[in-house]
Amino acid sequence: MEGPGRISPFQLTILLFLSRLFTMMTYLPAGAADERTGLILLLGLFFSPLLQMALLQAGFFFCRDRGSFSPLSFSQKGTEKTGRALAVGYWMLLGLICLYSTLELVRFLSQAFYGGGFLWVLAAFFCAAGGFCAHRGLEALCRASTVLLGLTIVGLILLGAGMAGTADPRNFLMPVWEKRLFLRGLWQGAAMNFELILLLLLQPFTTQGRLRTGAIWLLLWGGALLTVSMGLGVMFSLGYYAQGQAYPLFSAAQSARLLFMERLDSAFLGLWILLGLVKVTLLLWLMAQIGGKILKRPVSGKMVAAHSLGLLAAVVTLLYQPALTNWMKWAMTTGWIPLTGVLLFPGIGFIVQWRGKRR
Amino acid sequence: MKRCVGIVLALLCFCGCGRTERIAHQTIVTALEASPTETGWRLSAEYLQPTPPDQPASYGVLTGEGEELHLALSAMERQSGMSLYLGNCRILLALCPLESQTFQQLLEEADKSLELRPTVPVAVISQAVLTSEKATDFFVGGEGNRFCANNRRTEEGRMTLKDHLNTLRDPARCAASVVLGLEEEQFLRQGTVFWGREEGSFLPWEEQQLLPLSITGRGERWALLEEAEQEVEIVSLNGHIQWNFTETQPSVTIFLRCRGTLRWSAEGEGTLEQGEKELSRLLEEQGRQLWEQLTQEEGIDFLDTGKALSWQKPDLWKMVEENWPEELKKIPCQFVAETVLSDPSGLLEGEKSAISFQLVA
Repeated sequence: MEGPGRISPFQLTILLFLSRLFTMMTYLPAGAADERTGLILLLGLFFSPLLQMALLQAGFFFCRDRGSFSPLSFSQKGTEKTGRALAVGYWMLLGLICLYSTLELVRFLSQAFYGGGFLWVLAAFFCAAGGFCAHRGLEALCRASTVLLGLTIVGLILLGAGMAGTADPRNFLMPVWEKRLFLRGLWQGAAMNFELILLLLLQPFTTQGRLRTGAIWLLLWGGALLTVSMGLGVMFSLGYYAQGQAYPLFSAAQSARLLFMERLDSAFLGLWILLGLVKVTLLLWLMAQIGGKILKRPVSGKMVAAHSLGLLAAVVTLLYQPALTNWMKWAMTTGWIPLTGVLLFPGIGFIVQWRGKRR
Repeated sequence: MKRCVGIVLALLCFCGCGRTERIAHQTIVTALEASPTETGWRLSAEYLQPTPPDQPASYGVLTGEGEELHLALSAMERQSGMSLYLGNCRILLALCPLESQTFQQLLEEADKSLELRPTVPVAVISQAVLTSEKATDFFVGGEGNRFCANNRRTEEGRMTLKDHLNTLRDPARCAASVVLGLEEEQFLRQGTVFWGREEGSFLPWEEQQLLPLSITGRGERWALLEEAEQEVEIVSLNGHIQWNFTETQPSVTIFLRCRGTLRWSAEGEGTLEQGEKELSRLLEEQGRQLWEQLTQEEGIDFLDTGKALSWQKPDLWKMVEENWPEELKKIPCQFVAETVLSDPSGLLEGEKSAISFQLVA
């Protein structure tokens, strides 16, 4: 895994930003669009990069001792059993994130555009596309990153301008300070940032072996700023109507108006599919790499295809069990995933290695 | 590369309306009318009837009843033998009593169980429009859409499903709906319904209504000033709400800033100052009348003073929002209007000369 760097830190920063944007567009924290409490929650989200950076620094510290930034180095250089166990743990974590992202995308597409039907067809197409892109490799995705970023910026400008067209200043309500809400926002920002794990795992693949601190800050603050902007956009555009909407940002896009365009949900759809594809491709590719390490075999096209098919099977199984999916969504938002991936696993590796040294 | 292009081209075959029979087996609804019954809801839908291309479009009506809106919709689908497509509905007409709870329930159910777009305009009607007697060539959806589009552009009215639900759920704001009546196959505004906490209040449309009425946009754009013998076109009319807190009692002052253009004046009579004074007085009088009629008698916060209070004193608003706008009935209100008129056409020659002189000097 820790072979020569293949992608530039700039490309990785863009990819992680795009991947993060997908989650931001899906998951606007419950209450962020609430007039009464939303602003305090958004304030918490805005300052959340401080907490995220603290988490990352702890993760970097646990990984640094091996002379490499990747916690996966434990599986290569550390104790064989512990290393493989950690790799299996990461594989499962990434699998969960991948499953959650695909489920969200397919359910949204089906509900918003196909009247709740065509679930498995959409899942099959999306998994196949993700598998194909993952097979092409990380470098291929990175080469497209600038174009993808350009398209995303155009989409975001359209959405922002459209929402501004329907914004009503009277939807604003002066918030009353609540510490509990601020802390909730602070935590939710970190809890839904799965890219913290990806950042740890993908750093060794860059030409410089790591991202600069400035780039990481940019990534975190950029994400926070966009989340806050989206929350404000939804609040001003929809007001109380946003409450109870499964996808508030999509509802805002549906009622947005820009020049001759009466609705912008198709722009949202295109942007979202694009970002979903980037995220799932990244995750599938990483899973295949870790899978290869666990099995001690080189990563092949068949291995990527197996991951893609496995993802499809899991998605199709869960799609028809709404109770389980809702539970999963709740579980994903509690924040245990970034904690496990950034703190727990590297921490275990660090302790095992430290004890090994003492012996 | 060739393989990639091949795959992309193959994928294009899966895009768009591939299953055309799906469209053919759907009834396109163009207008929807909902009303409460003793046991639930009654829905009537205007739908596009399939006609040969060389014949004019015709529109039929379907009706269904059910305990809930989606059951009423299912009843219509059974009647039609096809599923109803509501994504193209141009207007939602509510035929309901002036009870805020019923109206809100209707809109909430429509939003959740019918797949209407959040931007579909909503209007209140006093008489059923979508009946079996409706002429098949009369396009109610198109007429409703035309009315709303004109109103949106000229009067800045916001009357979509999204706007209604937003204001109905917001305790600091007053939801208002336009009331439409049908005359010779044309929708005309009959008035406005202001939805209070429990009941709605109907205010008939008046030609000389200058004040903006909550979300239904501004009133008349022309004002006839009898004393000054002038006719003025109102260019802008903005309001600012100021809450005042003294030791004895809070009070509210509504500042109205009006800018207008002189369009007609009786020969040689009157000055711009006279016109400004009269227009200011007219605005203040109308404000006071509406305040007495809607706020003090009916308890309706038609100017969204609650929103202003929530901005200016959020802590106080938290305490009173439970009983809002009942609390507002007791609070004294003052209207202060400030008008600036211009005379670009030089109708008042003397005034124009004075201005020119000042500019030269």
